[in-house]
Amino acid sequence: MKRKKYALVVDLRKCVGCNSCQVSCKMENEVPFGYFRNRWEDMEVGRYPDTKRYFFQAACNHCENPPCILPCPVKGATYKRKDGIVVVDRDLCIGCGRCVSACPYGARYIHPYIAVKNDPSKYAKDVPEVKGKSASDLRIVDKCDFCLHRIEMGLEPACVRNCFGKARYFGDLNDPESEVSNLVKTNTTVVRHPEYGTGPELLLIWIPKDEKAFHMAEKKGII
Amino acid sequence: MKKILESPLIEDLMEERHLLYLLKYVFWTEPSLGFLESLLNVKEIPEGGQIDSGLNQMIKAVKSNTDRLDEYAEDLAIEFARLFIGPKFPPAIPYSSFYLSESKTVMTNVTIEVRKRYLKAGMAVKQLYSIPDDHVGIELEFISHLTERVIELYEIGERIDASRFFEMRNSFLNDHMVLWIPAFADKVLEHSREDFYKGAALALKNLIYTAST
Amino acid sequence: MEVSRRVFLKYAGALAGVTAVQGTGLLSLRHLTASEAEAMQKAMGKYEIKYTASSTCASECGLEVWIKDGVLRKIYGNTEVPMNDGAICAKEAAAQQLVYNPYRLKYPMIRVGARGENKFKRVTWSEAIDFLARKLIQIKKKYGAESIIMDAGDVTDRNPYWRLFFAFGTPHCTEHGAICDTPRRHGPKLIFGGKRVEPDLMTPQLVRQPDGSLKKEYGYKTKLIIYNGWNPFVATRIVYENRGTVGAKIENDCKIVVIDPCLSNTASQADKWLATRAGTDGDLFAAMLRYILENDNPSDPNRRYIDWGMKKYVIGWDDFMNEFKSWWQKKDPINGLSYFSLDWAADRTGLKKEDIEELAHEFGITKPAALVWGMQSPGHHYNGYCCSIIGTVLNVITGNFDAPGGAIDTELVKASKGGKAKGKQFLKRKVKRIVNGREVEGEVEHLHMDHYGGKHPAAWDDSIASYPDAFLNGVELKYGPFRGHRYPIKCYIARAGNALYTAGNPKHWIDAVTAKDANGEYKLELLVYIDTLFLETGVYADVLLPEAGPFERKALSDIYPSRPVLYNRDQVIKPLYESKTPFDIMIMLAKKLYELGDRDIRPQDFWEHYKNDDDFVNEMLAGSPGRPNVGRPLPYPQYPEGYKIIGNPESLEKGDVKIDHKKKLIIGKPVTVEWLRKNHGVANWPMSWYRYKKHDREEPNRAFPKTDSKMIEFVWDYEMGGKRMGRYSKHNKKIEESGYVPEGLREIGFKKFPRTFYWFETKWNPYTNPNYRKYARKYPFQVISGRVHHSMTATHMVPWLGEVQTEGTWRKMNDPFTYKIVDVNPGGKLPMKTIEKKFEKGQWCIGTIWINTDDASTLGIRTGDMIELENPLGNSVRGKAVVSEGIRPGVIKIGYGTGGRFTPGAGPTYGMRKKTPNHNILVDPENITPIMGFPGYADMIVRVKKL
Repeated sequence: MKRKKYALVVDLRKCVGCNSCQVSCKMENEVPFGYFRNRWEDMEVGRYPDTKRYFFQAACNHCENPPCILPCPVKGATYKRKDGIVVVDRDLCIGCGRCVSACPYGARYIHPYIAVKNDPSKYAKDVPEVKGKSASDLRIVDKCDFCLHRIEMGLEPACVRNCFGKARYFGDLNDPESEVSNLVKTNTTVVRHPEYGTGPELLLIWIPKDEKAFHMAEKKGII
Repeated sequence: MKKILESPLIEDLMEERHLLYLLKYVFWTEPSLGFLESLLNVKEIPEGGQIDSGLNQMIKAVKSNTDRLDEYAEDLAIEFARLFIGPKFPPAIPYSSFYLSESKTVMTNVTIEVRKRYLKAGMAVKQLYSIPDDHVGIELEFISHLTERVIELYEIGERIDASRFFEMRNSFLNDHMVLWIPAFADKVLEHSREDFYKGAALALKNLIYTAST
Repeated sequence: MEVSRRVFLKYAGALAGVTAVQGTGLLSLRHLTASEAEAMQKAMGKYEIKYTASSTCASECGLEVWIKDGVLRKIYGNTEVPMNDGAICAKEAAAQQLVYNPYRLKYPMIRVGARGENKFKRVTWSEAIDFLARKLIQIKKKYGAESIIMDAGDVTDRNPYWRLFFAFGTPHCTEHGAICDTPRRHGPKLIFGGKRVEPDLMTPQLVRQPDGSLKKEYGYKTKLIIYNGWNPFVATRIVYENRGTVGAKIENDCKIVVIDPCLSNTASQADKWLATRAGTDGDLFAAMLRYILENDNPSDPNRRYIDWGMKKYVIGWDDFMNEFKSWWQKKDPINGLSYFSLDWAADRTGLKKEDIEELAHEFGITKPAALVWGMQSPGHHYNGYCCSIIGTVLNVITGNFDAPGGAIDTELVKASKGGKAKGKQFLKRKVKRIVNGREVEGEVEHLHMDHYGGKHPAAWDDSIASYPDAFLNGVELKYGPFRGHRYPIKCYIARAGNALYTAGNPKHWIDAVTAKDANGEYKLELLVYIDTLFLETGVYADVLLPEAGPFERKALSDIYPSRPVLYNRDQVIKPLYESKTPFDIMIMLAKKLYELGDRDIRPQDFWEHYKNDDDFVNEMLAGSPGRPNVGRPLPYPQYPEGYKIIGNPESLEKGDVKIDHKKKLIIGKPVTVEWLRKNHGVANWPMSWYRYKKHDREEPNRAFPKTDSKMIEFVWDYEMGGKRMGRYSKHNKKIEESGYVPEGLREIGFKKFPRTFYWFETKWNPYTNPNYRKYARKYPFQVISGRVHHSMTATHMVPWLGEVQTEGTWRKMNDPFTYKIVDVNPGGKLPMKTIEKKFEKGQWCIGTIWINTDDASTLGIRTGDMIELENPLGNSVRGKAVVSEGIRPGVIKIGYGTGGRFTPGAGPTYGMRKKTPNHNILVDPENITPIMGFPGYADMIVRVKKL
């Protein structure tokens, strides 16, 4: 069987602005107040009465060349799986935060409550960020992993399951018959900031309501 | 180190359980009129330490309300609600996980560890899943019950079982209760407007110190 | 231990007496049997999947929940419930934060300070019930049971409370509907016997195929949807309109038009946004109807607006149209233009004449289409009735009513539930009262303060807005056998509702519940609060009873479907703390009332009748779905057309039924809680359309809709076959008998309820009602409100929802502050824990005031500035401005119930109370709509000041 390549396609024309993706993600993955694996934003443009409001939503792109992996001082603490998903190994992560700063999309954060398990003293020589700290002083890094634990059970990510507008689709881009492949084939799609050079392929893909507005939101730093 | 039960110690436990009965009741529920009346008959305890000071403070507080005991029961009920229940956020949260969890909050895995201890002794909270298992009153009831079991088993000559329960009791005191009860008692001491609860908190704090070491 | 501590030696002697009194028994722990202990050990740490429905939210989505160790861990939509089709919105996804919230009401409490002082003591349930029962009996003896009001809040859980209080002898059992949107429901009620018209968007539709099988059909048929003052993405309970609206638009090229003074989220995803002046919804509909009538031409395919075949199914067409047309001759005093003309409507709505013309034309020509009007508008305007009636008529005459892809009255097609459980049978009990010195006999229901009172006798959903006046001045009956009977209101039981904050002007309510008589006693002797949370009404209550929260109680759900669907709202976790379910509260209180000697409460109606709450729900299900076998395709072609269907889908499909030809019933095996549990929690019955037609002929089937004539009625007081019929007829009979014109009708110059079309103007609108023209200059802004459904008064304590920004009324604009919240608790016993949170600036959503950019720049206001709104009654509110191009100039919008909270139970939002507005403070307490006694929430004008 061919290797899978998982992708999330969001049809922004169908977003109803309910934020279920943001909150369902928090519920599923125990994301604290003020932190996001998956965040929703809106943007209003134009003069009355021709005003428009656009909805956006952002998470990890699962980049083809993830800039977050190289800076990690612990081998295997964060990596890209064969199926495309970029993950953090909570047993190995020492919470130095280098990957968080390296991600230009702001997709990672340091979880305020989950303590590091790997003993940081082993790395203290090369990683001044953890010097003099024990595992219980440090917190692991968290990010979108397409709800890996659900995928492993044969289920879709929580944000897809609970999407109120049925705007979110998850599947295998290597399967030409899959819904995501079809959507990508038959619609204009965009990804965030291709100029960051983390591609060419990003696995969080949008069908925009208005391409110009999408790029305006990028410029404004909303997404 | 296996601890061996000796008769002087059993006598101690037989005394100590009365304190536990008193305190588990005081921190579990609002005092009934009958309970307050029974305290009126307690003579002043010769001062030998802070447990005694606490008890005397409680008894004195009740006695100074002898002619208005009904109203006093009501005052204490209101204070009990204010300190431990709400509806505003209470100043002395009576659950251990609030003190012991990493983030100083209510309801964590600390609670489930407490549940496991009860289960090991063949017990569970009556209102399981409704009331968090680590309420101060429930924990006090747990050790008072274990204390009672130790005495019973000792008296019928089941020394090994008695030691097992004694061990269970000591470990619950030493690696759980003593870690948080003093902090809880301090909150009561700081916030209570009633000498009754201040006294109870003082007695509780020192009982746990004494019993755990 | 080798060394004795010997420190305790003095306590046995000192404390033995105390121990003797108090006993050594277990207070909080119990011994487990060996098998119990083993079972507990085994179950720890495993997930269990259960199906239930939401009661966090009025939308009642079907849910699949994952439970571990008795704790709610994960929440998803139930894929078999077509309302939400496997999805849930942010509000439900955040429900753990409500369940495990520190601001819950945990124990029964009794007030010890003054009302509003926030001082309570804990009591046991038996003390609370005893206190309550004695008070109730005392009030009943002194003033009659009619002096008691049971306001049971949300609909599904109301039944145990209604049953108990109807049995106790009061006719005053009500629910949230009375303060929701009664003017909006009026047209469908008069014309169909229904309530809410919604587009045909609920998928999958379970449809009978020509080969006899049932198939789930996806996809949309609708080509045009007009939402007037209706914002399904943000404000409403009809959740399939979320995915349905965008789905129809993208997949079926359906055009979406939203009419709203604000660019709502729904408007932002529509093809067209028409920003009308507030409170002119009916004006627009009237102009559309006139345009369609004047320009319809059956022989021109581009003008074939009216489906004339429809007349076969309508009675009173000519009466209605003649009355409607008679207005065309009149000139509107406000603008001198002919009523309902395009120019007239353009002047009043502020829209371009061409836009109105285009809208009317498109609605006439596009089929299938649905015209939908809203809750906050026109539901909250004084004259919303007129809009609702015209909207209903427009859907009918264009042939869209109950057409595939058209407009469905969901009230007519949803499964019946409740049955005898809700206790309406007790209303028929005979009672005697002394009226003007004479003993009179009547039925309990004849004591109803609205239906037989002098204000709003047609308030079939009750008039909660009139309660403050009743607390202060009592009630005088004007109709029926007890005419002339006067009684006070002495007890108000507020359950799962928050009337003091939401049911009109809070100041007015607080004045009424704290008013004292000459002896210094509260006029309202008893105020009881039953809820899971501690909301504003609780602050003023005498008794607080903690009710089991969402996921902890049991009932049924079926929100506004296009066909019969029922799903189980199962209890999936135990009630937390000492909260109790509505069923348990009913039984406890019933037993106590009986024990204290009340003989209206009978064991055989309560504890002997129901073993447990499953029995109660089963009684509610006994008559389900209870809808006739009608429509195309016929739901059950194997059974007689027009007969009422009762029974679970499985037995009906298998033919396991009895047919009663005399009563015209098809009776299968009943739906039960057990059956639902075995079937994914849901019973789905087949869809059909044109349910008012015979399935094979163009003839009325006389089984549908639910009017007196079983036809679509454009007249509401008429004679047929020697009988007086129509929705208003019985109220007019009351008026004729007593000669007393209800005060509501007098306000609008009516002597009776009109037999067909009527029109009157709204209040506090200087642009449509000449009486208010004088205010226009000094108070240049109309202020409206709208629900932000995840920011309602009982979810403000949920942090994740405080991160969900919405439109211009709910934005992350907090000042820095510290407050306790719940947050995630990874690896913990419960999914949530309470922490002291330091909020940075701009992290937490607060209620804001939405204002147009040009208006704001004239006043020198920028986003984030504190501003004050003051109305002509001298009331004012303050809050932060959100300056935006997404709102019509001259209009200001505030989220409904988003700010100015006055209970600490509201959580962090209480912490921002001084900087957030409570829209209801601006509501005119005298503005109670004339037909059904509903608060005129949306009729107000203000001036704006920068602070």
